[in-house]
Amino acid sequence: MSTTEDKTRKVKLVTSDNEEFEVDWEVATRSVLIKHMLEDIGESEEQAIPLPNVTANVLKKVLEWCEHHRKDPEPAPESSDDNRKRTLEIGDWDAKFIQVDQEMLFEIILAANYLDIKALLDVGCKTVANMIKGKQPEEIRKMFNIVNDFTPEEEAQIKKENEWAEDR
Amino acid sequence: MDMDVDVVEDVGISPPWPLEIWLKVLSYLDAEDLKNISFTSSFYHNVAAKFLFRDLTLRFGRWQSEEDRLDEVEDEETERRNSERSLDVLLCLSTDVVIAGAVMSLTVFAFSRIEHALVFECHHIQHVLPKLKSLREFRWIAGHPSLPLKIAKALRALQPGVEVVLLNGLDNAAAQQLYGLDSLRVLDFVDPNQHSGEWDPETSHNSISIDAVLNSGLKYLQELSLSGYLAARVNIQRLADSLTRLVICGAGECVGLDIFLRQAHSLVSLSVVDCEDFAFLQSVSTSGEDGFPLSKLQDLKLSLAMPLARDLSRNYSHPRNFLAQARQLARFLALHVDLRRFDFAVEPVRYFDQLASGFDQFDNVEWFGIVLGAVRKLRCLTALGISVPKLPLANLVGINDSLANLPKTCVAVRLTGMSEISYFPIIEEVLCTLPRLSFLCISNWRPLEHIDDWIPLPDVSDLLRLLPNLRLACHNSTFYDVHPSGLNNADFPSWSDERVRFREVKDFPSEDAYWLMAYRFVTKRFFSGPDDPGFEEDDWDHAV
Repeated sequence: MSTTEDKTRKVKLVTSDNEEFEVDWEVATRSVLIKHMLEDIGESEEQAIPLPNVTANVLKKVLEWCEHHRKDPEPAPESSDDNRKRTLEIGDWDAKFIQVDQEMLFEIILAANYLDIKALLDVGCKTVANMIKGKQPEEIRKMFNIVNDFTPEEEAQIKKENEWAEDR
Repeated sequence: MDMDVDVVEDVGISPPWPLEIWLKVLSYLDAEDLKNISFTSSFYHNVAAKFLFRDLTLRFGRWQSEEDRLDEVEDEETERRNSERSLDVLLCLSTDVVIAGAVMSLTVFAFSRIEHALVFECHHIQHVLPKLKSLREFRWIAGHPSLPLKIAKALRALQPGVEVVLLNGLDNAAAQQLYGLDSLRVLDFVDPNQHSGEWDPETSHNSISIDAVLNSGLKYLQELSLSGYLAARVNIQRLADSLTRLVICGAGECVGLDIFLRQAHSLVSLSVVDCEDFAFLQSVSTSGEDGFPLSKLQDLKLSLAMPLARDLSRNYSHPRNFLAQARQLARFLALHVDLRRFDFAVEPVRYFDQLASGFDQFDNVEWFGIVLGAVRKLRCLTALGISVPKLPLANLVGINDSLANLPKTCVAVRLTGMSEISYFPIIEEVLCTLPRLSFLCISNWRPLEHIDDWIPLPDVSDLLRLLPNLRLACHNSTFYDVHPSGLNNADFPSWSDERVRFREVKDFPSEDAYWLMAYRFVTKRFFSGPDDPGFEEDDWDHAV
């Protein structure tokens, strides 16, 4: 439960490369992981939270996103209905925010997953999906440095399978 | 902070991600992109398979429409192609563990004309079932009773944890096989989306086993669809507390439905198709001691069976009183102004007997006015369907006023039956005010009626011009995907018959649109106007 006191409270985060960040409670708790950790620690403690899976340069970027989205409402629970068409649209601010090099993009996604920041993870995954969209297999291989491990027979088989996957 | 980093280049970095992130990324891709990524390597093939093969549909034989039944149309080519593909798929499922393991939902349309032609396929399905390790949903939709006993047996033996089962035309013996499927969440004895048109085979007249199965403690069962015949004979009271969706097709007199509804505290969606009257709504049209009845209801689909002229002239045993039905409905809707979806239709039980409707013998002005008045008060609608009966021209013109101020939340509208008046004013004055409208179904015929002066429908480019957010239009049972880029091109491609008949939720711009189209009128065999090659005056005279 968040209280008025929480809003003014500061939270200390320590990255894997030992850099310390002090941020508002409201910003830090965009991360469900951090929120749960804070709940476990209790309000009285002034303990720094270690984030051994996140480096300082990635956390800085993630916190920039959290700061901008600090007032966003709690995300709705995941819809169980997978049939619904998913939109690839990204908000203007988020689209600009995620204009980073590929390595940083991958790190942000990894960090959002680890820190459990669903909305940021969505932005990242949509960005990657947009990168894949409309690309031929060879282009995708190049983009993600994928090694083709199929035999010609397997390729023929996949071609056949894919033909009836959406056949009508 | 440096925000001016260049956008992604093809630098070729392998993302250091766990599988779960790839699953999320791929969940945003459509089939074409999934296929491309599945070609890149075995890892990506396996991830993509989870989406490409999650919902698998097999078609045996050919969907036989009512017109085929009458005309004995042969289409061996389609039948051969469907069967070859389906057997390929079955073969693959029995050998490829990745793809077999990806299938969560298997739908089999078994529409072969000759029952014994399906024995072979049926055998394969039994063989494949145990390999589908993730299977949750199994639907067997048959054009006539085709081996449901064997299928039901295989399901119980090989997939006892299945959660969703559709077996239409299940007879009493086959129903016994459903004992022990304790995880069932959805059980459909009829196809709730009516893919089979009027071809839902009749269930056995012996309902003892079905009654026993329904009362055997299916503690997770939430959704049920069944025929009116069964509904009147089995005891569903025990499920009243837990059911969230109930579909009754061929509902008829709806015996006992009122008692069920009074206790259906969890019901969210109710469809009663081809009922004779709305008397069952009476018991839930006033607040009682135990509070507000059906307080969770969001979706309501009601279709009244249309009276036939022949029956009316023969002192039909169930004379209709549309005025009473309309008042009943209005009382009910007044208690449920927060309905999300509402579909009201008056439909012939059978289209194809070439009989004439006796519908114009009623005071349609009065009763239909009451229905429209009630609809106008539904303030949260996202989907609205209305069949307009024969009305004098002056009253037709007034429909705009009655429908004015439809909630801005509407995304799907079905409006049929306006034969003698143009749809233009209603689109320009009413539908144009709905900013989210993405699906519109219009039609200028009324089934089984002889109409002298047909007003043509607006064509699809007109619709798109007036309704810029439109994505799908249904025009006298022909579907058109509408793209803004098509504005300068009046030639919008229409769906193939196969696509219409095997329509899936993903074909529609929203679930609201799909919900409206769970309808039998996708078939084309009735008088759709003088342009219809099937229309002959002689037929009509003969029918009357």
